[in-house]
Amino acid sequence: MIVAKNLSKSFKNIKAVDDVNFCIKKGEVVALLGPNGAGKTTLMRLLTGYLQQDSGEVSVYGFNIAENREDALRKIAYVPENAPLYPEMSVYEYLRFAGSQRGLENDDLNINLAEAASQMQLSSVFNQRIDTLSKGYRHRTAVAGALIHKPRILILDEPTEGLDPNQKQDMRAFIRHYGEKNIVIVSTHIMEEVENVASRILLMNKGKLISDTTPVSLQNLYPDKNMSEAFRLMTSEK
Amino acid sequence: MFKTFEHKKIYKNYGLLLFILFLFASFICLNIGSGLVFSRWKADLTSDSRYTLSKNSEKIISEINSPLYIRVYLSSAISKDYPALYQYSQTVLRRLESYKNLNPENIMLEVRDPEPYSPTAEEAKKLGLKSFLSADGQSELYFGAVLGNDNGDTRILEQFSPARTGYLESDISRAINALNNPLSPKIGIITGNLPISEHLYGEGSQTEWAFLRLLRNEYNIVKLSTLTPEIPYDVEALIVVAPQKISSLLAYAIDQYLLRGGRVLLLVDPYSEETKRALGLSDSLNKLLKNWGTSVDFSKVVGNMKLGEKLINENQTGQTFYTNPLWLNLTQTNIDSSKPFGQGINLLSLRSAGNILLNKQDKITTTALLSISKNSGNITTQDLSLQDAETLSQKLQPDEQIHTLAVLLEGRADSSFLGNPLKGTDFEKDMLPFLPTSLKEGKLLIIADTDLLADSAWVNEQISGTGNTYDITPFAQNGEFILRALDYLTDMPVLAAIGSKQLSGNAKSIMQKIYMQKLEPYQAKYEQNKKQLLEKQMLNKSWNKIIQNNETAVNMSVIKKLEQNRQEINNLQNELKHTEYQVRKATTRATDIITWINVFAIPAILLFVLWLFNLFCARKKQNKVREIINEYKIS
Amino acid sequence: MFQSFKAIFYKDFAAFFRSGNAYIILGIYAVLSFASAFYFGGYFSLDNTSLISFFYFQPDILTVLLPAVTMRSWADEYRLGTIEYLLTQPINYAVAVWAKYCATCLFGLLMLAMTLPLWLTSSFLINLDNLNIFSAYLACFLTVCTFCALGCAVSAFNKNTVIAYIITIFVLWGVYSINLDFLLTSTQQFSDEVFAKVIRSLNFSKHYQDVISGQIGLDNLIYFLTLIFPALWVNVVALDYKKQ
Repeated sequence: MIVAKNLSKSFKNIKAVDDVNFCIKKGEVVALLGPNGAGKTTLMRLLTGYLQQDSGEVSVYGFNIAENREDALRKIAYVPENAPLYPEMSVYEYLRFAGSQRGLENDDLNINLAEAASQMQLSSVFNQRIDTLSKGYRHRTAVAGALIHKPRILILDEPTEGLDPNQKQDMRAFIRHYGEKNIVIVSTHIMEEVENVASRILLMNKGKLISDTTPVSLQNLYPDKNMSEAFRLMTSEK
Repeated sequence: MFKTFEHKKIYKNYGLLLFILFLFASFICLNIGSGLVFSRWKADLTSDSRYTLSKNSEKIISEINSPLYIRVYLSSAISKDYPALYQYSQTVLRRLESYKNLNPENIMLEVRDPEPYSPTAEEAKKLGLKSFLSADGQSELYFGAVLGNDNGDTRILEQFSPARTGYLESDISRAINALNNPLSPKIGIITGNLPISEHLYGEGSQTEWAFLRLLRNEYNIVKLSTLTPEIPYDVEALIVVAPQKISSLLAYAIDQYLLRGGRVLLLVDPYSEETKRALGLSDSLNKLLKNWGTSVDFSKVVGNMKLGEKLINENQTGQTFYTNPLWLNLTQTNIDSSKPFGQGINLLSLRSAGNILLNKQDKITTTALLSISKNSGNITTQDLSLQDAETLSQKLQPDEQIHTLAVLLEGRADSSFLGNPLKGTDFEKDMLPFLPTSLKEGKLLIIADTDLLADSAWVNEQISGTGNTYDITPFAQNGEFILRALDYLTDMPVLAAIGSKQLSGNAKSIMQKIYMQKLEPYQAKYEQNKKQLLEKQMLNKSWNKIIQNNETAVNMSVIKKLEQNRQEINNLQNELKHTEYQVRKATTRATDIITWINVFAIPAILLFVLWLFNLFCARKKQNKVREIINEYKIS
Repeated sequence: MFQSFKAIFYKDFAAFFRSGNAYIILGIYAVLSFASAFYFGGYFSLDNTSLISFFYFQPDILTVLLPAVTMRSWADEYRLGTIEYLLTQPINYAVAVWAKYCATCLFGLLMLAMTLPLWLTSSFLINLDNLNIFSAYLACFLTVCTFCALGCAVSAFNKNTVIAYIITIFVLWGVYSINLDFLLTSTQQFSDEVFAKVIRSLNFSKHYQDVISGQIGLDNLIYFLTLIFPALWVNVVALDYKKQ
């Protein structure tokens, strides 16, 4: 369970996240939806403790991220936008590094590493340097790295950005599957993705959480419109 | 609290700035604190304990109870012109600092830069510091020190020389001690015909022996006649050298001097290498020695193949090495260290030394100072004067006896005389009354060799030969041994125990060492040529003098000879230059190779090894990855 | 905790070799060190029983080369965006800083190890004062540790490695050239006056010279440690600062 209470964060005089409240429970795949600059990435960074909130609090399975940062982060895995990786490492080295970071060693590490690599179908590039990989494989490597300790909360920032249609399809299937037993938070502005994977939508605009709903409820709100048009209407200036 | 971003940013920036300022202030405070508290306590991580003063030096320093000024004159140009000397100057300053740290209240240390033509340079010159020319030859540089106290007493260390590194502590401690005790003890010296006394030298002739200069620096040396009937009462110790022609009157003087608690350093010798003569001992002195429980065997000299000096012989077939068993290099195992002056003496060079026979007496403590046993034997002095060293080494028959070469006798003895030999004469009235037995404990140190005093036995070429002793660079510790023995005899055990840390004079720079190695094959010939050149130059000089003075009628044959001599000098000079050129060339080649190996070859090899290792690790990792893929069936 | 330390430490240390930078830095360092000793340090002409010709130039060479080692430690993480990944791991910032610092120090140690053959080759030529050489290597290691700490701290404030490199050179040069002796007169240089002691205690060269000469004291160790730990602290604070 991840809870955000009165969460706010400003940069210069722009409120990136403004008094956001929500609670996400196990088995939910939450789409953080909003136009560019809505504050999705900032919110994710606040949830993972990468940024410090100006006010409010984040609690991960009872651990306040500001006070018990390490305990809270043990339950979270976060794949930032563009899936940053160490280009000189091979896929195997990266996964090993990610596993060691999470305190895995010996057989546990090998088993988890193999499982994560299998899930992301990385065997063909296992020994390859990351800087020689295609964008899709890089993305998959980053997700495999996040999955290595089997996190209870998986946070993905724009997970299908730059992937080809097949890869997108695979990634969405994985998210759906993983979300059945865990919490997955996905930031996106692609409605198709929301329809496909999300069980809940947190709609953000200008730092504010303007709607906490489900895809079906959103569709019901604008029955004559498709999801994209509904999104456009909800986030438009008017 | 801060509602707008500007406030927050200012708060953040100031916070960081204050934090860094706090760290900076802590850095300054902590270091000032540690500097004030801990700067005097240092661990000495050097093999020769370069910065650790001996207990004896510490004692000397602890006795200082009034201000003592150490003013070092160090020309800043030295750092540019003479890097090796500059490097040494830093060691000297550190050493002086360690003196100061032991008594910071009373020792004031100051470094002055005598810039050329400055008042400081004038001051250094006036004080008697030795100058040397800068690299461009334009100005005079100084690196020496003046030690002084409030009474106006001064001691000059005219020039610090890297060649005397091992003697640095000894030099400084002795100078400080001299300031603590400004009155130098008077030492009497009686010599036979050995050319050690100053007045024997004319202009341009050989310099005074280094050991005497060493003693003169510390003591007030007075020469006594071999006809002295009485040793003056203010003489604190007496040195008697090779007294083969000693009169019975002098023997009486020494006898009475010892019975009155006198201290005598007696150097006797069955064979003098310096004068190439077999020496003897007068009967009266023999008697005296007998009373003190000892005698010297003048018919034989001691030899030892293991301790003998290795020499090169140049002949028609080339160079051969041989050992001269009579030129002994005594090491630590042969030197008794129970007395302070024997401690730290690691090398003494003796030449055809005699055997001291001991016959212990009740009231006399006997300490055999120098002794050898294994592989030692005797050779008669007759054989010695007739045959060369190579033949003698074959003739030496080692025995299992202990051969004592020096002995210290301390205690009381009876007179070897029945009465004053001048009894009944007018002289008797001015003399002290005859003593039939000891009034006070006396000390008699006998060394059965006089050649150990000669420069050739222990010291490299002297630079100036005048004044101070800081240009003496010893290769054996003969001078130090004599000096410290006298310290002991004059009841200054603290000084007697301050020895050198290492022998100087060894080539320390790699270039010098390589040069010496490359010179080795040519050395015998080179030395021979140098010697010949010197002889021929002397000959030339004397002939020129004859011609100039028109002492004899100059005929054609003399001119021809002179011309021939000049030709030979030229040839020898060319040969010497050629050898030097060859050696220099070989040295440069060797240094080039060493440079190339170190600067390029070694880094390349290391990088290659590192790359191979990395490659090996990468391969190993690849195999492991394959294993994991197979083992865990990664799809 | 230790596992995370090990992971970051190994990643950073191995990164030098993965990118090939290690060979370039080690090669340049070895050639510069040896060349300075042989061509400018008077290796053949000075009394080199303690390899002074070699150690004399070490701070200068390390000032130029160690920034190349430390510049990437944080700046590269910012540049690649991996900082976001790294700092969202359950690891204390101080541990991450310490792990990265240790990796650079180990690389510095490897640099120094590259020069050990000189010790060996010189021992064939002259009798060396091995204890003094050990002490001098200790001085170099302390310098490496200090410079690495400062370099890492500078790197934590920069996203651009080149800028981090340049700033680090200036910072190291500033620290290395701290010499306030000009404030002292000749009589004060060795005096016991508090002022003189204060001035002397702040000179980097004094502490470095003390240790390479074989005279190591608590004051020298404290000097280096008071540079290392605050620099590491600043490094941690820099990460926290960016978080806000």
